[in-house]
Amino acid sequence: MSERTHVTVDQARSSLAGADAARRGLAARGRWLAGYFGAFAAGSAAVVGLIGLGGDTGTVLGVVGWVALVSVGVAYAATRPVRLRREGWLHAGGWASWGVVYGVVLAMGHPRHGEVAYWLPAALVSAVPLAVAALVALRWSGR
Amino acid sequence: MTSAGSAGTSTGGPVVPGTHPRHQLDDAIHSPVRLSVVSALSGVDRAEFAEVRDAVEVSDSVLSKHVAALEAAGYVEVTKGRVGRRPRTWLALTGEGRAALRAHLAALRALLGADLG
Repeated sequence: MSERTHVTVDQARSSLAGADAARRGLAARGRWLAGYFGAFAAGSAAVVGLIGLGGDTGTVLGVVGWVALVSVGVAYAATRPVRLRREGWLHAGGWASWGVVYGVVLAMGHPRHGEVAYWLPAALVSAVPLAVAALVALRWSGR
Repeated sequence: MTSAGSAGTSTGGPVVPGTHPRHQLDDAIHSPVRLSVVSALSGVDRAEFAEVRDAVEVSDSVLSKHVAALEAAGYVEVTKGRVGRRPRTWLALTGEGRAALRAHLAALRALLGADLG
């Protein structure tokens, strides 16, 4: 019994190592998602800052820039060859929480246009949900 | 020690259910390439054929053969489509495949535990 069992045990050890390496290898190719959410987090901070501090021109620039970023981001995501496990949930959670924070930040800042003390922190806060999503994607792609 | 322990599974005789962990191994994913494919897909929702090929480090033809076997077993789902004008083949692990992988990995770990314990 021993020889066959020992061979099988060696194979088992090798199989487990190979399985883990394969799983990590393919998941790592989903790391693009971290960059995707990171870019949108930075974009969100820029847009909120422009809306709050840039006047009418800043608002127009911010909205146009956001539309451009979304267009590029959607096209980029559609061509990615690897989708991380539970990626849909991350999109749903990230964007839904971003929408709430973004709406609250703009609503609270409406009477404070031009106030740097409000809009700079507000811009950073608006980026938090998507930055968190980026960190989660980074973790998922590395596990 | 069970009677099946010495009989093995490759003699062609009737297989007697045993308690040794190797009896829990899944023949459909026991080959190294198939186990690698299923394991790789377990960390993603879906992946393009070429990405799986590169991650598992096999040729197109070898991967095609093993994916066909895994698809026949109901463990992998193959979807063909296009991104722009480029044809793409997507691979995804089914729920059945995910359960089979979990059981297979548990059996492998138990095998190590049985030997080391």
